[in-house]
Amino acid sequence: MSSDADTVIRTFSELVDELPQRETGEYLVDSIQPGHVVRPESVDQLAEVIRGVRADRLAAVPWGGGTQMGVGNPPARYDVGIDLSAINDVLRYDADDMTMSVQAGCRLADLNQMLGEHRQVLPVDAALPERATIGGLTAVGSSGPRRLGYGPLRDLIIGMSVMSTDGVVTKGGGQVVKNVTGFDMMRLHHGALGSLGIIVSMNLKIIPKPQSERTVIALFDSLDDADQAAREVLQSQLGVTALVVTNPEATREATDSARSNWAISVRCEAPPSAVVRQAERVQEYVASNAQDVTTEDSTDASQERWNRIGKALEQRPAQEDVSIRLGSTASKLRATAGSVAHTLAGAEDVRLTLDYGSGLLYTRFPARAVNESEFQVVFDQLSGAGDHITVSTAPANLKQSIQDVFGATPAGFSALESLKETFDPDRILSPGRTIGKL
Amino acid sequence: MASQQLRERLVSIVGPDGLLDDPYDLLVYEYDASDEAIAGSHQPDFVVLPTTSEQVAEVVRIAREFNVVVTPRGAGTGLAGGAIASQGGIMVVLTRMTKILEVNYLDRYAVVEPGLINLDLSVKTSPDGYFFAPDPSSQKACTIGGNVANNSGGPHCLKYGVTSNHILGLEVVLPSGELIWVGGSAPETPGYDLTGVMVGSEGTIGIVTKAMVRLTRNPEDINVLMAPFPTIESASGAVSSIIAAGILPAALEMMDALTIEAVETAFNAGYPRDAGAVLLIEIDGLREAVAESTEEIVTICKQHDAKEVRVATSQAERDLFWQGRKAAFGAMGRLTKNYYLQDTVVPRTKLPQTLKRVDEISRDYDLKIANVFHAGDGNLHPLILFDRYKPGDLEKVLNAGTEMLHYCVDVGGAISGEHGIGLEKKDHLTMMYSTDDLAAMAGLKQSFDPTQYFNPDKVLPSGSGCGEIDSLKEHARWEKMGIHVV
Repeated sequence: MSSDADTVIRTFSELVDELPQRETGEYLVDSIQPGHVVRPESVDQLAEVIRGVRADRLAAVPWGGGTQMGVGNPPARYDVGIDLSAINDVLRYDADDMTMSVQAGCRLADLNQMLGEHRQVLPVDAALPERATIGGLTAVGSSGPRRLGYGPLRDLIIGMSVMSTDGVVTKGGGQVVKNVTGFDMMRLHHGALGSLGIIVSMNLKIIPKPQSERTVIALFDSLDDADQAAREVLQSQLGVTALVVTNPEATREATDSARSNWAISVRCEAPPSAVVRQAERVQEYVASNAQDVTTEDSTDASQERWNRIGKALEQRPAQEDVSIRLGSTASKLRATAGSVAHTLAGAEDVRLTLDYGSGLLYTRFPARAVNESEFQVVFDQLSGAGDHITVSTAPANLKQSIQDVFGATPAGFSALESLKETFDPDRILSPGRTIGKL
Repeated sequence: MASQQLRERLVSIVGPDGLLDDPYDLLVYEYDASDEAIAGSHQPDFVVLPTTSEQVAEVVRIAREFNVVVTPRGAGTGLAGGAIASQGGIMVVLTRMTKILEVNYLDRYAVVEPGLINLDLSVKTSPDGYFFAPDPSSQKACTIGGNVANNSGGPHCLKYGVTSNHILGLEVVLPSGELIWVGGSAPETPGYDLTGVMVGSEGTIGIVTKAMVRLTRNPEDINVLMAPFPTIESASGAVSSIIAAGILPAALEMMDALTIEAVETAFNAGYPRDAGAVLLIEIDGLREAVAESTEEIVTICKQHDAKEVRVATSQAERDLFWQGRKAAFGAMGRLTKNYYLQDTVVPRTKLPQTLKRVDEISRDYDLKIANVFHAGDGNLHPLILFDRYKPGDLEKVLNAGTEMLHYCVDVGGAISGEHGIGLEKKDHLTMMYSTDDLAAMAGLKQSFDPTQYFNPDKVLPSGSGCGEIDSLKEHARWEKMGIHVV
């Protein structure tokens, strides 16, 4: 066999001058500036980049819209940033099949605008949908409050193509909503921070866009009262699609309210006449002990409300703020929030968003409240308050001061190591960024 | 006498009544619910019936020590030969691990042992207003561990999603012998999504010893509609229009004339015998929303020439409508000696043309084919009726089945929607996946099970085992150069 005679691999340094490049200062990860940032314009060019990176044993970090680059351990090495925003074609959209195939660089807001014309939606929340790419959201693997109604992004992914470290595209899944053919390779890359391959495109299941929506907001004097209301709505048969509780600081941010209250926000999505009744019934559930109950009584106002709540989940790299996400459950969130408040008692302006529908707590506080020498202790205390922990954003010096932004190394870590060894033996993709600094 | 030693070691873990090796006892473990002619029958050397996670882990460690293969098994209702001991060895049967360990309604989960029968969980939780959504037709017999292994579906997956969407965490024994928990009640556990990878891996990379499953709140209201149509085409048109109208029913099922005949003969479910197709539609949710959607669906069905639309008015009537669907496979005994159940899936808009092709295949091969399927998500179940003892019938059935698979893949579908790959379809994977794709899948398997002793021969095509990944990649390179590798 004249193996590979016509696919001569060029090293990155040989080909870099031919590639579309970007300003490296815009692509810092934890204050580390890469030597180059390239923006491949085709999948073939991406393959060439990957092969070159591997040939030179460099380390590359893939970029989507950059809205969640705060998530992850500081990279062990970072030579090349790969901006995937030009790999952004909608490959297929079959409205009647309610599926679509899109490249990783497609932005969430653009997709939903297109889908909206067919009264469909990809029910995924992101803090900055006009920037966030579908590939990036998948690589980070986080879903917002509408997980309660529609499940996580993970469950909407029915197929995926991934660029391997050999520069070869491999696919898993397919174009159909139900499929058990072969292993679910999509799961492997969801939440892997691009450390096992670079997501090139994915096939998504979409849903009919809810015809109308309302949001019920109730204000309470205490977390206990808000917690009680949240539990009652969750256990009802009202079928709400999102439910979060915010502390007074976070409430002020989301509502411009001058008042200082805990708030519960409940999202109702249904056909036009049903949604009105749904919101009325939610109001009845939350009214006892509430100081005030209001309803955003148009679809637009309701959506705007959730855009603002979503901002609290923003995970852009930040110099001023620390944001941390804790895993919990509806029954434990009140206690989790109590521990977090206790740990952060000395800090001002601590914002808490308790996503009851998901079982996640987000906290954000000014970075000046902690210093490097004490951050590990604070982190460990916060870690003890939940089932799992992730530092979503923090100044680089703080992230570097702790062992792992994802907390303790999980059981079965050897399986994770062996996956990394199989799919990225030369540690060229996002080295050090995932759990256990893989 | 390695085998005697192995036996003693296994007995020391599971006790004498937890081990079977008498050939008569082993007989029922030779096959599963797949067709024996297709998946074959193989006798394991030992069947062990552990009662705890630790026992499963111990058995796995012993198997590892003795270099013996391990095949996990639930109730054996699998339709693709996934629970057959193709290389003998130890079969780990989990049907004695049936406990519901924890139920938490506020956090919407239950922790169960893998041998728990699917329906038993909902039976336990539904009086309190919760249910386990995946509902394969075998739910009265199949186990939740088996559902996890196969990522099982069911009629209500249209709205609620497949098993994978309902598994929050798993306790598993890995091929390394480690007993670990992955995932948990809080979502987005950092690190690789091992829970997601385990589901649907057919016991090839781990044995589930506990599952934390999502419980779903009972809907406030449910309507079940039954609509007879003159033809399959008109029924398919109604399906498309319902979806296009932005309605997401809980279930949307179709049965053709042959199936109606079988069901009515067996159960009298109330389907009109003169209909060309029947649609069974379930809508659930908020009372007001159900009422609104029901009206819309009735209108759509009538626009597509439904002779009538009957809305079940009582639980008894709802159950009757559903019984006909859920017991349709069993009812086939009224029409045939044997049937081969195919499971394929196509994009839902391709249903009418695919059904036409199935009909052509039926005529080409002179085989009767009944169709009963999940119309809402494009998941077909053609039942090819035949007589095992009629010479030549089986070959015809296999060829007809393969022809269907090819057609479905050609129109953008997949070769299994919910029954799994197992032994039956592993060599058909090449219809959908390139050698590079398969090498990546083999890489996943190898990462967990480098010596390939967990449920060998399943899912991946022959020749994609340990040490063969490099040769797979090599083949991929040749194929790109136009050299076909057999």
